[in-house]
Amino acid sequence: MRSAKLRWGSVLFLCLSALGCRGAIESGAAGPGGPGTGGNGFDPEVQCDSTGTIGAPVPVRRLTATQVERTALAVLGANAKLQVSDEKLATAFRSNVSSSLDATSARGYLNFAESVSASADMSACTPTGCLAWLLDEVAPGLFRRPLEADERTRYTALFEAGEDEGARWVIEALLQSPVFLYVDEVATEDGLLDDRTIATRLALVLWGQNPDATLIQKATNGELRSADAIAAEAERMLKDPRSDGGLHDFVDQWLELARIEDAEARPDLAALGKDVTDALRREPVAFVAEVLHGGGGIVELLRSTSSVRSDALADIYGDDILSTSEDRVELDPAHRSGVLTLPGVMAALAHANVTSPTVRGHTILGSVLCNPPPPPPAGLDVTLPEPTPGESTRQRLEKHFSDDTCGACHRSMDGVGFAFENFDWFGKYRTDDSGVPVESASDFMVNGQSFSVADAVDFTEALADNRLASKCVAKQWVRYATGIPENTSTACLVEQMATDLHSDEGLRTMMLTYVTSDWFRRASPEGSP
Amino acid sequence: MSSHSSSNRRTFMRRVALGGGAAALFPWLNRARAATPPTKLLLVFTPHGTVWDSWRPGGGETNFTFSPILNPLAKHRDKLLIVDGLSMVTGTSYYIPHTYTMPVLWTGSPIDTKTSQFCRDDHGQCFGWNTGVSVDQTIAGRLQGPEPFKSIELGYNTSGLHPANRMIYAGPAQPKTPISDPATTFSTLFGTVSPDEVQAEKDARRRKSVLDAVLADFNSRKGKLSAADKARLEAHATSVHELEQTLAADTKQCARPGAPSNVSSETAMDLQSNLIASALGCGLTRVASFQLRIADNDNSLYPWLGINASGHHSLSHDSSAATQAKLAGLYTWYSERVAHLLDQLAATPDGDGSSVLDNTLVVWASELGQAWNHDIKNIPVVLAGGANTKLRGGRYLKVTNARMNRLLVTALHSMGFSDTSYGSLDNGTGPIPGALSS
Repeated sequence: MRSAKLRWGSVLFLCLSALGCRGAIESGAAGPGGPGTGGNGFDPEVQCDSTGTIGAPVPVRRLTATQVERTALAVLGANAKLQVSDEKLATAFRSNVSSSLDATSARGYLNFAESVSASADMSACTPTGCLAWLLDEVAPGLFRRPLEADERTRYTALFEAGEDEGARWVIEALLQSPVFLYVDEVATEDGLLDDRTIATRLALVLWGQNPDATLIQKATNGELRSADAIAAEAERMLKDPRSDGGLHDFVDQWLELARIEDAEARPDLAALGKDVTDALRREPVAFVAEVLHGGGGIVELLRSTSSVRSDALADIYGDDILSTSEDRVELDPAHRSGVLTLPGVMAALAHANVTSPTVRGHTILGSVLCNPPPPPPAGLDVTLPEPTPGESTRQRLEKHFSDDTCGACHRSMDGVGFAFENFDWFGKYRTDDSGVPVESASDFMVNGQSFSVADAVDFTEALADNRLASKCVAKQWVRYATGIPENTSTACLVEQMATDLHSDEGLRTMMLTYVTSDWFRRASPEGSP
Repeated sequence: MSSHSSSNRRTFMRRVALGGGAAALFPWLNRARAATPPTKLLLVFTPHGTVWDSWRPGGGETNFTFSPILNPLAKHRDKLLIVDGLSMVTGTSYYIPHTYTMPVLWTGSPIDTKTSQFCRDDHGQCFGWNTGVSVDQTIAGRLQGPEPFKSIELGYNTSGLHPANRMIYAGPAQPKTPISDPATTFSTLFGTVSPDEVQAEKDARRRKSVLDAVLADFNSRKGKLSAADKARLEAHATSVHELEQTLAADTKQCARPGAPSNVSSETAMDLQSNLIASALGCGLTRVASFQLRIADNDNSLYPWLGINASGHHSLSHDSSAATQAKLAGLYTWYSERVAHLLDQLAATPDGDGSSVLDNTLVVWASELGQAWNHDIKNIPVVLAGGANTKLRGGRYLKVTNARMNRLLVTALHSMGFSDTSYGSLDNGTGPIPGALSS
């Protein structure tokens, strides 16, 4: 990271001087070479003849709260909420790789275990079959492997000590066990991870929960040794409805959809009711699932006008729904185009009762184009004049541009956001803002490229065949799936995954490239992390 | 325990066990409270510094007049020490505002910039956790008293695990997560042991056996562990042991507070303060902290203060007079919350006729000095505490050339330790001059 840091230092210095942001954003194209700059738009041209040969240096991972909750539901049929914090990594993705657990969190697991055991589906716990169910089904489902002999002995003793509550005792212990909570990754002599580790990684990435009995059995049989076998298994898993879990964890964090349910920052959304905020938050995930299952790639991701039907969103969509079938809607391609124009995304990237072209531009530049603007310099009077009647949000924000210091960054940030001004803070299409016709035409620079777009539809069309977007989506998937920030070793993997996104079955192909890469399959080299 | 022939007999045996040998399950139960209540420490955090023009008192050391922001604290004047001039440094070549000072605040040691678990793309920087130990945890580690909780961390809206969101650290990369809602605080501190003695004993037996089984599983790993991962797992096991102690905390014998109700963002901090006061009065711990929200990117609204469109962090970048006045209103509201906390501590008895406030050093600070320019050269600090804390109250103290490490040493001395320095960023010696009686 050292060279990257130094270079960033000089970039930031530029930014603090007046025209910094133009400098920062434009210098990307002509920026100095050298690999491993990580997610910041300064990627050099790399010559790749493979996707890399290094395994990801992933520390021991503690499952995220959603992974724990989904697994408890799958194995024990209990729907309980886990109150233990996750680490928020790089930009958006939760991954527990660096900190240790305190007593309050240990208490959180205890509360969760007691809540699950109280509501678990115990129908298999018959007088004669209960212990076998616990040891041969529940325990492997949680531990991601069969129990060892000594574990069987200990858990049998615990079951007996618990007398008529033995099942409860065992379930509570399994749910708090470090064997369940921490992924145990084992390398074989050839440096590849063993089959159980591969099964676990596949399940956590693609399903957002533990491997099921079938997958554990395949691992135990040694059926995940080759890249082809892993690809075939991943294909099966992506077709399984459980892939919604993995997609949820990726899309929801990638597009910051949790903002929708931050009632303290967004009382306007909360006032719409829980069925609407739920639908706003879920639709983008379901939309990406449609793209995946329909064989789409970056073009469909950024331009499709086919979405899942969600009656709670009918009011927000209004006339934008051209036709409705049992489970799908077709949206007006003149207004809607791809995942970024979905109401949930537009609503998440706004303030209470007002759009924020700045927030939209900032997030799209960072999360979708991997060219985040630098932070604002300290000590500015950033007050914009109070809104005056008959003034649009855009007219008000354009005052940013009269000041060179602000304008340097805001021309790109707000410029991207202006293209989306046809969507209000609920994500409803509009042509009028405070009595002023919405002006969505916008010119701006991203990473040295000039964009001149008529509106969001035009912009997403431009992005769909631009490698800025495909490389960024690939990079975000690598971050999500690996659980650590990318580094120099992922440059060629990202290039290949970006190319995949432009091909047939783009999204699926990208994911298969990831799970068959050495980055995914290999143990970290000696000495790291 | 082996099975018994009849449930009546089992119940009978349990009653006997509770009456006679309950110490094994509830070591806390039979311990006599100390005759003289011991001193306690309570750290309080509110985000984003202050507005200095509205914070700084007028007048001199003893004849000072309260500023608008601090005026809510006026009735505790004799127990207050207002400190003006303590500086923070990050000890790093680059400074990400908020994020790089939160782990420094109570540790006096820099954030770890040698590892890169966390990245900020907009700053082009990666970093890890803290390098030091927060002073409360150092103190908690040295106190070997009978209190079931080594320390209690409470907060409100403290978000996920990230250095900008955590201030209490038991060791490098060992952040402590505050309990962030009053209902969970209540059940954790006062609702663990069932009022039904038979059920209480059943719960205690089950939890002990379950956690012993959990601890045995820490030896079942096959993968190779790095030193850092080994330390993480060992710390987790230690936390399970700590948890076992807290589960035995029977609070039936002290003045239990009622369960919190009407929890909202407007009431949560006061409700947590009520529970902290009760926990300290009940002798559940001698070391506690409260963290209101997070150090970075908190954009919560405060509609009851007229902050209903742009959140605290967005506003805090704005140096215009109108916005600064709005922010001063928010900081005054924080001050009212601290006043409520002091009221509660003063109203809670602590044995021998004294109040909890008489025996507790409260330290209130922030991760910044002034928000709009991210200044950390002067951090607003208020201490409070009665005679047993040695705090020389009723004064407004201006200090120069002193880092926050002096404040941390002051806390150590108040709690009976004699360290002369604390934290790797310390460049001085001793407590804040004049803060404590000798």
